Amino acid sequence: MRRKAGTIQFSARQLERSDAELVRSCRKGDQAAWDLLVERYQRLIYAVPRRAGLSEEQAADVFQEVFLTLLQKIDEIEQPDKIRSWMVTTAKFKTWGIIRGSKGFYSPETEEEMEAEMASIVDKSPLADELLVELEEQHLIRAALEKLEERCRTILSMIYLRDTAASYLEVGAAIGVGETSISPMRSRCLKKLEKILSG
Amino acid sequence: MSDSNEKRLEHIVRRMQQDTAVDPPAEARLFVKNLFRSRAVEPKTSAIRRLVAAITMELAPNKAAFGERSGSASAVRQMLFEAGDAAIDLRIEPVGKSFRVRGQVLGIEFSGAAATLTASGRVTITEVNDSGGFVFEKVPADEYAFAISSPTDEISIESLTIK
Repeated sequence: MRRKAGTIQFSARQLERSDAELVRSCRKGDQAAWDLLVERYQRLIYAVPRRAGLSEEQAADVFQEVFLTLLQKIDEIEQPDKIRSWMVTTAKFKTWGIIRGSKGFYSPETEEEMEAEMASIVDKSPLADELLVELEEQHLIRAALEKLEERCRTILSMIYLRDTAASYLEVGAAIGVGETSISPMRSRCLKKLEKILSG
Repeated sequence: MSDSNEKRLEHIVRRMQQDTAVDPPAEARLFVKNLFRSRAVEPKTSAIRRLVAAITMELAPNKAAFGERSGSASAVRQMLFEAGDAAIDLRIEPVGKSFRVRGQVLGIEFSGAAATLTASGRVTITEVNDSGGFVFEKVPADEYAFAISSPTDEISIESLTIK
């Protein structure tokens, strides 16, 4: 997937165990590494079919199929550090298979074959590259939030990750500080988050 | 703060506010984590016992078992499989245009394990309860592979026709 000009680059280096390390550990049969890969990418991969309009059940099928394909091909993946892109592309392709009314799933051998298949599809609007960039960036922000100290994580989550943003009064009560302290704390936490994202 | 930093922070905030992603259903996550079990235990070939179940009895729908009164016949197709010391009792019942597949594994402890039905690239998973029972709802007619696996044992039925 090509990143459009004008979008902001985030670094994936924030992650404690890199994707490449996890893939290498999986190749040696490390179940804990596999579990970590699943936890790291479950929301991102599930979000791709959901944002394309598939039902929860269909999206769960896509999610399962992506990881099944990953397991089948884990010894062949030439660039383990690009696993995120590979998984998103695979999720995109399998989502399209359902949207187009395909029976069952077709698993192409290579990413090039997937892209060629995708290129043959005329209407790609539900899964435009911009949307996939957005989902990937949100994934990286969630991962960066996990690296913040708990107080910052609570502040930013309550203000920005809820359907209805919590008031400063509510946030202050949650972390045990006065309402007036929240605004400067929020700014500092945002800067810390940005620093993590910059790698 | 520079304009570019300010824009970057605004971008991060906007992305968080737009974030509606949620975790996949628990059973899907359980299935995906369990997928790795066969690979994870490969180096320890003696650690997991793999058994292929063979059918020992099948009672077709609307047929009474030998010696039973005809009044006991039902629409449920019943099959009994054996694998080593274990047995699997499977019952397939038409519900509308699809089927309910329920069963019980006996002889080996599988409580909390994953039971899977796989066909045409589709994988359906359900959890085995404390009594060894499991149920798959809304199963379309197809040719399936069935498997039930725990950290120490795996029993598979290589071909299960549901129709």
